[in-house]
Amino acid sequence: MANNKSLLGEMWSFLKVRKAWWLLPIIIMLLIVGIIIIFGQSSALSPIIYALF
Amino acid sequence: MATQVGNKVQQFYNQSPFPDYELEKFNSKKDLEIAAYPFARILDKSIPKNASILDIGTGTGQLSAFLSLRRKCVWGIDFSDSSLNKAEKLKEKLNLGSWHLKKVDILDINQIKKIGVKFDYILCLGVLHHTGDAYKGFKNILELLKPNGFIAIGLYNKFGRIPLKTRKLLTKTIFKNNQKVKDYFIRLQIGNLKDKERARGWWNDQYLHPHETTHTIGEVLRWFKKNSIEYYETIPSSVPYIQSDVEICGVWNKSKSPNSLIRFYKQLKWIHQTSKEGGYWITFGRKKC
Repeated sequence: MANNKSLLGEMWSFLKVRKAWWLLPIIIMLLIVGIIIIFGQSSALSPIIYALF
Repeated sequence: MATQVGNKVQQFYNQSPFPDYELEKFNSKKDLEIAAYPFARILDKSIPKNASILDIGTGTGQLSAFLSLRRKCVWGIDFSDSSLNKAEKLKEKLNLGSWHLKKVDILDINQIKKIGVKFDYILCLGVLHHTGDAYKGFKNILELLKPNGFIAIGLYNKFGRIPLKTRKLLTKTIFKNNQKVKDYFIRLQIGNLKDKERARGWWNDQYLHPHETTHTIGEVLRWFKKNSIEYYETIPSSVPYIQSDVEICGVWNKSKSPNSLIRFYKQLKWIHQTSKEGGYWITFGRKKC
């Protein structure tokens, strides 16, 4: 957990020192895509709903 | 539908009836039951046997024919002559007396009013996004719903449709001449390509359609609110927790209307979750008295 914190901290410092704010939207998008991939799996409880026949 | 979009869409469905099938496939009522996909059975199970049903945009009619097997009053309406002709042939072949077919343009309120019957259940699945004016179509069809009647609206989602739009672009560019890739994409949605007419119908509907619009959950919730329709649920689910099993619980289960944050999160999920279905989702509701 401490390692994770330092990783995030380092990234934040990097953005701040280098003033690389343009990287922020890319990082946010990657996080969102990651969340979707992890949590967005098709549920086995959802049947196919468009094709009815 | 006197609009330019309407004419184009009507012409399209006259040339490519949808969902289409080889008529020889259905020789008895039993064949119709066997061919029904699980969700058609779920709808059948969720609607009481004594309820009247209107299937809007019934096309070649498999769903409404199937629902009429155990009911006294099921109507299927569409504005494509060739789709309805095929449905009529099926009706005649299987002798489905409780299944009524009629040519109606849902954007024309006069044609809607002429029907003269109101229904307990209205199914409008995958239709409004092809009309050119989805909200007007929605408002018009509510004229045919009884007070306390139930409605299901199937639409393409703005977020969920992104993967199919990407596939569409690929088939027009890099894989323009690659039939294997095209077959794979259509297999994603319908499972197999054994029924050639059906596969062709699906290809046309998903990849060659002249007009489609995409919508959000929030948009449909606003439509519901403006027209006194009580929100029930969406499929795929819009609740933040694990959804119930529709095969057991059926559909039209009352749930809390999702707030904007949950809607945004869910629709982001749908980019992946509904990818195989072309971003399609259904919202269920009930007309208030």
